[in-house]
Amino acid sequence: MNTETKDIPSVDTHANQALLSVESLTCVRSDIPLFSNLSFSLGKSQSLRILGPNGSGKTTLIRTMAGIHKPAMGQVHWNIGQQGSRGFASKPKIAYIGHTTGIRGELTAIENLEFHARINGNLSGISPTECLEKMNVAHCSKLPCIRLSAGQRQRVALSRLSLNQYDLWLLDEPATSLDDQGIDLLLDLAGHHLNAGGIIIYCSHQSIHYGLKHDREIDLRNFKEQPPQC
Amino acid sequence: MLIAIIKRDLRCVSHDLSGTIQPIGFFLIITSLFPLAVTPDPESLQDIAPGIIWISALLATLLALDTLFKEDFIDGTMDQMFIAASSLYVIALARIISHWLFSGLPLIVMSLVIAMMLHIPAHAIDALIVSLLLGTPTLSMVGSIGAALTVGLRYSGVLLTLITLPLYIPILIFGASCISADLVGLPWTGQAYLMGAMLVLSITLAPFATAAALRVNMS
Amino acid sequence: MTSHYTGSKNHTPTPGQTRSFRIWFHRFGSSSYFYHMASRWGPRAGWLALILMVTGVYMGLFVAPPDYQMGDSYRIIFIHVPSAWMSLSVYVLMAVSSAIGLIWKMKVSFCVSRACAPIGAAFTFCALVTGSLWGKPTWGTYWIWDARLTSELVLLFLYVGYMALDKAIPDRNTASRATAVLALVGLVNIPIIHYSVEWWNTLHQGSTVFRMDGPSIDARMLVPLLITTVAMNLYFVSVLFNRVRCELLDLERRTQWVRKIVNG
Repeated sequence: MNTETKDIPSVDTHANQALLSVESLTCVRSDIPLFSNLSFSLGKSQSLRILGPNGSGKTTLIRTMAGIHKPAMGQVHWNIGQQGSRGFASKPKIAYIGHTTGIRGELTAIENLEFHARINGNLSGISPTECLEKMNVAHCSKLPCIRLSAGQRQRVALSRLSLNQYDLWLLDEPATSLDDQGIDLLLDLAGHHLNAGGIIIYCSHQSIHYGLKHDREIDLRNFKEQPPQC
Repeated sequence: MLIAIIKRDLRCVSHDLSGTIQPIGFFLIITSLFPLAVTPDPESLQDIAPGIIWISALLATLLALDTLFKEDFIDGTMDQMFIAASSLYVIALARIISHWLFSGLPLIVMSLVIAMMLHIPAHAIDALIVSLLLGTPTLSMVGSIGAALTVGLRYSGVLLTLITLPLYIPILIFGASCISADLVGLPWTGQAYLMGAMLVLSITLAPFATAAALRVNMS
Repeated sequence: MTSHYTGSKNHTPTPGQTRSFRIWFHRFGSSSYFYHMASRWGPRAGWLALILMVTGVYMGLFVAPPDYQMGDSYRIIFIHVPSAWMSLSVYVLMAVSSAIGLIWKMKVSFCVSRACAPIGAAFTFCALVTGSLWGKPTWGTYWIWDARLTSELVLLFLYVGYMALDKAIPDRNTASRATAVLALVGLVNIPIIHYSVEWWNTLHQGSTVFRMDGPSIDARMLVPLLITTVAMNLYFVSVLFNRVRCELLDLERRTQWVRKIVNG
């Protein structure tokens, strides 16, 4: 179907072939280059942790992977479609949990999840209530989300991860305002996701990385180009 | 996707009516200021009633426009919708339709009450309804461009007014003239056809411009 | 099957792009080229504009005969008419260069449209002021809701909206692309606004210069009018180039060619 996938052995579907590859990505915010020439690739069940100080472009990288930002240069490739087991469509299914939760205050947790289920096409058959139970917030599913605490809202947002069999999770500081139990639940979910062959890219300053294994680490400081000196 | 967004907006409105009620209340108050400021005389009121109704409709629409994309933008729903749909066009169109359903349509209903208060005779009601039916969707369409352009700004109300109102002038002219013509017994179909043409043009072009403006503000 | 989303300019990378990923050299060539071109031609256009303006105004005030109806008051057209023409054509230029910027992602053309706005607004303002000054002896009042004056007023609103949006958005890239969208929307709307206002009210005298059977005004009036029009165009080019130069210096302040210019 295309040239990128022809050298990948199609017999062994469990080999760690590159499912997602990023080539020479360069991102710019407000004319300031954040990082350049960033390349990496991830296969099934792999996770990547992005490191870097504030302002180094972690969020920008994650949003670029989600397709929200356009990179100044470089590209993001998805080699999907040849595995029958996960039933890939041509478009990768991406779950993104950002700094803003994507949770509408007027709606209840259930309604929020239902909306996300609808816009993402249909799901893996898991009901919104079950998703909420996985993050242990089912008890407040009937309340408007504006009345929930920040941690509870974050849990509702994270419940979205169970809505679908996503190919890629993009987690931008997912442990924000979560308590220990919340972090444990998130780690559980992440473990299941990786076992099912999914990919995770995340950045976090918090203790979540003690529990969540990561196969790769990228420090964005290494990809920052210095401006030319006079 | 389109239906999902509109359904969600319906849900939001059913939980919190203020987004719909406030512009309508605004519409009612503005129109009732004119008799207080100008004259309560029925004859004079009838003369200026088309203008009053259309200016108030314009302002009420603008009031509801400010939050058209801003809420979704601030709470991150826009990102989620964009990742799911990869098409800002659909998102823009859905929000425009919701905007009209929840602010334009109630405004038309309310205009019947206001027509009575401004002594518009019964025979001119059809022109009023037709002009508002053709005009308010155009207002939503054109206004959505301004709303999308200012979506990233925290205080955008005045700016939104500044960039949107000049674009509203043709609709104001034809909308008000539609009613005025009918008031004095002149044919008003010409104006109505032109408003229909503007509606068609805005349906064709505005969602694209809105999507482009949203794209600009997302990256 | 492969799905990929890519950056703006990497489907078929040119040798120059693959060689250097350095963003601060982005569009190095065209920006500095435009800058130097503008520094060369801006002042020349300015001087030529001054000479033509003085000539045109002299001819308009002293050579052209008085109008048989309006007497000497009509002489304001030598400023009024070119300003009104410029106000519209500057908007068109602004929108066209915005479109070029959006389509081909050229920073220089965003700079051009952004530089156009205040100049165009100034021309519009000038046309409005001279129009209302002319209105006093002609109609007996400074302002009449005449179709063309009203259109011009709406055009001023469009310019003001453009500049306000430009000022309000802090990020420069976002601002130039957002204003570009607005300029294009305005361009589509200008004819609609114009004809609806025209339909709404026509009081002004009909157009007297552009007619199928040739101009209907005296050649001694027409010549100074054309001279001042050319002068205004040249003045516009000169001011535009100056503004674009400033824009470019600011935009490319991190590049070496700007450092070279600044450091002498």
